[in-house]
Amino acid sequence: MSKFLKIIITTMILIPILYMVFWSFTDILPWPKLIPDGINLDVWKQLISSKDYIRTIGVSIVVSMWTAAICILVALPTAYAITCFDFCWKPVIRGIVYLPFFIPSISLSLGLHSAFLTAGITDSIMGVVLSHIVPCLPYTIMILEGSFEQMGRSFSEQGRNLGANSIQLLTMVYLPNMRQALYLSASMSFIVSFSQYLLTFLVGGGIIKTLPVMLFQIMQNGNRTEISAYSLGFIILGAICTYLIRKYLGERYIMKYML
Amino acid sequence: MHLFNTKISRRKIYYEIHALGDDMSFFQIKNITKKYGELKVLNDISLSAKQGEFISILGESGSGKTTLLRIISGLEGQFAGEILLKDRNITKLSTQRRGVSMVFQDYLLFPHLNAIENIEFGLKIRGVTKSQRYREAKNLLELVQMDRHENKYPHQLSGGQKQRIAIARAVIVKPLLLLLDEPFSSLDANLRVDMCDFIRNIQRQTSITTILVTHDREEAMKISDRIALLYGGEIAQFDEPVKLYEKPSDLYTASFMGDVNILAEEEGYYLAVRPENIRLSSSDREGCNSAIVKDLQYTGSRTKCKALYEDKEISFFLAGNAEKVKISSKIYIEIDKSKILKIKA
Amino acid sequence: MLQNKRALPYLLLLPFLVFFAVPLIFSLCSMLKQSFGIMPGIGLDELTLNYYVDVLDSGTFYSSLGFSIALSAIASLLAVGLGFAIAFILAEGKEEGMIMSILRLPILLPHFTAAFLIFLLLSQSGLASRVMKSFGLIANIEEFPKLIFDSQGLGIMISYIWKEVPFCILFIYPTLKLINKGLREAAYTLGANKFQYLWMVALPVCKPSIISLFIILFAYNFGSFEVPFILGASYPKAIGILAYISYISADIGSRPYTMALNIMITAMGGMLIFVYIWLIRKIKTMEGQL
Repeated sequence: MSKFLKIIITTMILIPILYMVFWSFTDILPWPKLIPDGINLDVWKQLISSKDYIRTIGVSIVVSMWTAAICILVALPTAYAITCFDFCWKPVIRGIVYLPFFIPSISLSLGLHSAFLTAGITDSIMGVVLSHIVPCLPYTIMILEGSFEQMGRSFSEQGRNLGANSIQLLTMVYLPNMRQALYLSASMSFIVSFSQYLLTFLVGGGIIKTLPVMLFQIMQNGNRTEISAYSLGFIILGAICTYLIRKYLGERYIMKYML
Repeated sequence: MHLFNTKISRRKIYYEIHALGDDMSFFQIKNITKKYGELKVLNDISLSAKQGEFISILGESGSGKTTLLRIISGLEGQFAGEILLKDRNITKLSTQRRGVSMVFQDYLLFPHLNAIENIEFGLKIRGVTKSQRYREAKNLLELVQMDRHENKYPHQLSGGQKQRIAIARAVIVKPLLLLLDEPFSSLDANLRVDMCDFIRNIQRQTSITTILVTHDREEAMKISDRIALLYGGEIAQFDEPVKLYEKPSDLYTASFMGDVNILAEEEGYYLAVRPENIRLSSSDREGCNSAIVKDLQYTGSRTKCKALYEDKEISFFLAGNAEKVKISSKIYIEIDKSKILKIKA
Repeated sequence: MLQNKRALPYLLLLPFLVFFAVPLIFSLCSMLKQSFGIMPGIGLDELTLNYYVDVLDSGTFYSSLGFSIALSAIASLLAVGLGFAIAFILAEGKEEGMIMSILRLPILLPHFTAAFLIFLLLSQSGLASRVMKSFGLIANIEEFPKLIFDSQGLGIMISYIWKEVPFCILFIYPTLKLINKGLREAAYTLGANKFQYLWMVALPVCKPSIISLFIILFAYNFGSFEVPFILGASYPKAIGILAYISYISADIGSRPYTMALNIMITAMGGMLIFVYIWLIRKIKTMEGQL
């Protein structure tokens, strides 16, 4: 039963993805043909040589890297405060943290855009990054909070017995043991930022063009081959970036330098 | 006598509580052998229990005792041998249809049900009506002295309380055989003693044939009618606690059941004596021997004395703090010749 | 664990307040303000509820609201239900193998990519229709049912389900695996069969997780913009599309109307947060017991 189900699930998931790969190498395939006459690499060539595409990748990575970095730096003290300290506004803070999960994304995007317009920080990379923090941060905090809770009491007591103050406790006791959680939250905020369309489109005002914005344009005008190739490019890039974050974080304790 | 209404007749478990019977074959396991790959976990185990008897399976960790219990309960498959329960061969039956219930080491109460609902679970499975279910569960709740905690959820109960609920939950289905897997191991030391008396009481009141798995010799001796001592997947000895202690069949049993002093070895036998059968003697009377005191360990009510006797280290107990005896001094001891154990080498 | 120093926690929360709480609350407030008709920039400065009345008076609002609620409720329900069923069966098996990595794939893809995949597969000229034609099940392209750009929102729903079922499986599977070790054996020794175990133990134990999953998915699907934008019909429009179109319309005077609409969408999601917080607490106490 379980084996049979695994096969079904695997086909249900892989067939659409593989079909998209197939389409990216296909030029014209009129209905009801199943197999094209030959392989077509034009779109891939165009994609690799396009300066616009390279620039868009650059903008995307810069935006998402900044977002991930700021998210970690903001989430770390926040999660630390929420899990390890007692203060009277805690339930309110917790409520605010999880608010973006429940505000439908359309309202959140429109609301943030109109607020950013008022503040005059639209149409810039900084504006886009600042707006991305809002939907990304709850994930980051959630993951780090879990990590702090897991380490819990014994860690803080041990550290305290050795005479560490709260900040030393954070940097010397907790942080070195949180690599996994830091990786997870960094890649999570990276991915969420990396695939953010509406917010980027509105706050960036069409001037800041990230991959999702470009992809959405293509989806409205392009053909299946183009969309498939650009989507694949997008997926592969996302995967590479999160892999690099993991490697970087895993091997060099990036957090130590950041603090 | 009690009959359940069940929707599915096949799964109906009829039961009837008899007075303690003499029928040795109420529960039997025959030649159970279990292998994990090449490793033999259980080797040719045979056991039996009378109806209403309390049997303990005693052994160190890794002796295979929990595996044996799981085989009896049907949770572990793929073994050789037979299991008979009340004239039925249950070897191939699924767990549900064996008429065996089990209390687990970590209780395994259902976290979404409160105390009484946990107890009712088995009856609900059997389709017993709500009011009857409640009545029976309530009775058991009283029996396990938990009636004040009826509506509490597992996370609101202490370890000992959970244990009681787990026992009530297992007993309510009136199993032919009740299995207890290390029921004391996750309790505090002082609670263990209470729980031990408590379980024995419950078992006497319900007279359900019970098998307890434990690594604690004292608990097993206190609570059981008979003990099966398991060693390396084999039964070292299966007998009453007194016999295990006083007539051990081999050196492992002898030393597992308590301290033992080996005096001599002859013709494939060890001659040995328990510490309590060695007495300090005041003088060099006939039948007394000299020994040199090596070490004294004071434990309050008595002092454990280790001494060198005929080049063998022996130990025995002295009353109180044994002021007169000093380390390195010469003492005289008297060994109760009638209590000398003859153990197969 | 809980330390009690007056200033330190607030100091630690400072970046959070600056980067997150302030923009979030500021944007909610500015939405509220505009929805009550206060936009000094275009000469509106009178507090009024008229825009809410306008929203509630319009027929398109109700058709979009009903469409979005039905669509996201059905999609979330199916995703959670299928997710639980599949997780249950998978947890019965001994080896996991590759399946967990494969299940992560759809989660990594953004929703609009998932929508495009569904389009490639199920549009009238998609893979499914081509395969059916080659087997002779349909004769021409029009015979293939219209699953994309349809007024029932089937394409949107399938796209949500494709992406969210794996998410539900990965969410529920560890809990099921955990209770399978112990509670299942406990249930079996008490006489429960597989079905009774599923119905009386596994499902109730997972219930809080299932409900919280449903809420998360519902909140997301309800206010989603990308998927209905790519796969939706021109009528009825999902509520997110309605808000978007009204927002980007050239007429700045319609802004208060948009914001009133937006506030109502936000309120729908906001109500769910309380249920969620209550559920999380319940899940935590239960998991402490497993």
